Amino acid sequence: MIGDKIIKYNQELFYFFSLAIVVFFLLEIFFPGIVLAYFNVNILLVLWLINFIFFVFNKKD
Amino acid sequence: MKKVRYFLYGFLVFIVILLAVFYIVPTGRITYKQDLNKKYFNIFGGRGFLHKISPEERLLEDNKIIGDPVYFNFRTSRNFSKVKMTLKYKLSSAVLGNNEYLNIETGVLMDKANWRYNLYPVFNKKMNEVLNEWNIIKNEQTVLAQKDKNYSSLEDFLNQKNFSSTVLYNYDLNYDYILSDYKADDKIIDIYNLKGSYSFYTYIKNEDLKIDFSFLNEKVSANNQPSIFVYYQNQLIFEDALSIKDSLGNFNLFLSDLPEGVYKVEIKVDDDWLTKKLSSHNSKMVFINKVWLNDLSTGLKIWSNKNNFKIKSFSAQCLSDVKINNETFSVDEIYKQFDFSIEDIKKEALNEISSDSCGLLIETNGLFAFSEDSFFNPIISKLNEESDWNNINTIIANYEPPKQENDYYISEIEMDLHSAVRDKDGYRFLISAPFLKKSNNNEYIELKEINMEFEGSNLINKISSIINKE
Repeated sequence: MIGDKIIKYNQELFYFFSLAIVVFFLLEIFFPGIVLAYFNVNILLVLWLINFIFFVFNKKD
Repeated sequence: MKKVRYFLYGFLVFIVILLAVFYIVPTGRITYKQDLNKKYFNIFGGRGFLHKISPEERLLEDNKIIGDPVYFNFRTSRNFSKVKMTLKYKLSSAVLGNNEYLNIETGVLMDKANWRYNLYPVFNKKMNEVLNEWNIIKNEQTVLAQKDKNYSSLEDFLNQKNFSSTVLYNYDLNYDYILSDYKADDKIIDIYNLKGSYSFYTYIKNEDLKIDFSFLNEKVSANNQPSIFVYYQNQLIFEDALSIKDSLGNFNLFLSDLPEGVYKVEIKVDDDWLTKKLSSHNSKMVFINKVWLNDLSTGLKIWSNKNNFKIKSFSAQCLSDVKINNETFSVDEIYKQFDFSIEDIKKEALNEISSDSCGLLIETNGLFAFSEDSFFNPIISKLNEESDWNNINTIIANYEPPKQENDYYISEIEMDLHSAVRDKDGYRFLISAPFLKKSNNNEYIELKEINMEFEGSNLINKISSIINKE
């Protein structure tokens, strides 16, 4: 049961990180510097990738 | 699970709103701080706003300046009208010990085509000494420093009109310079082949300001057309941007009904433009700080009130000897700036510079004339390395000495950004310290912190100004 919960939390986090990347990407295109001046987006990409790997290997059909 | 989802998306919305607020700066005020002594790399932090101090060869360990000048960009998200820069810095003991005159300035880029910066004082060793030792009268930001106290207020001093033993530091003095024995005549001064931008003073009395220009664009491009500005007592009284479609174009400057006095004419243009001929119908004419002559067939002969010159040749064919009064100097390398000076034995007299060269850039911290008769000196000396301290009794300055905190100095400089250049890299600043010659790694300025407090219109004012425009 705990495993299922972790997978569900991970799924939510995955969607959150994916949306954050898309939002930051669009913001940066339309307003250069708005995100990159304050935040290192590479960190977000690494977290997303770890999350993605976890998501793929634990995905239930 | 829904709670987690709402929390995460709420958090994302909060971050986006926060970023938007930092981007728009709705209050019109924002402060950026940069600690340049920080040796660790913040993995979570963004790229920040200060874009790397450069060029690298004028720096040691990223924050020690050993050459002059250095530049940096500040990437702001929007325009601002002014900035208060706070610099925290240390001067190495070698710098303090080896240099009698230390002057550090900072500035912001105002004109990209001509690489022109508005400079503001940061640190001046002589001024710091003067402020401690002389009689000081402060009027808002302006300081009147007197060796012997003769005047009780700045106003009294300005009313007496004798400024022969006065120097200015970061202060523009509007005063009515009058040439008592001047009479307008019919003489015409013709000057040929002036390259790039230049500015000069001319004197008018019961006559029109009449100068004819003939411009040649050597690269036949329509970009950066010449602009002409005329100032009277530091006020702009005329401006015009020319529209020259072919490579050649003429402009006749004609202003009438002008009061007697000194007028400054400024030609702003990039270095591809040549003023083939300049004909002045006014008999007094002195060029300010530089003359750059090109394509000369019979050499050059000019006069200056200074005895030290920076001379550069841009063409191998134009390498030649330069004669300053009776001394001969050799300009034997292109693109190299030669510093020539002669002994200043003829005080108040003019020094003659002559050469058979086909073109040279000659600069000095003074004035040039193309004939002895056309020379006049309407400017009050500015404080610099060559100032004769025995003859200076008064200094008028806009200068705030730095505060001291242990070994570090803290200077606060307010800069006007209204006409400053802001492009995709933001505002461009420089730090100038001419005493740093890059030759000695023990002579450096260590920058510790740069704080920038930007100020501009707030969101409500901005919106109302847009509505009012429509």
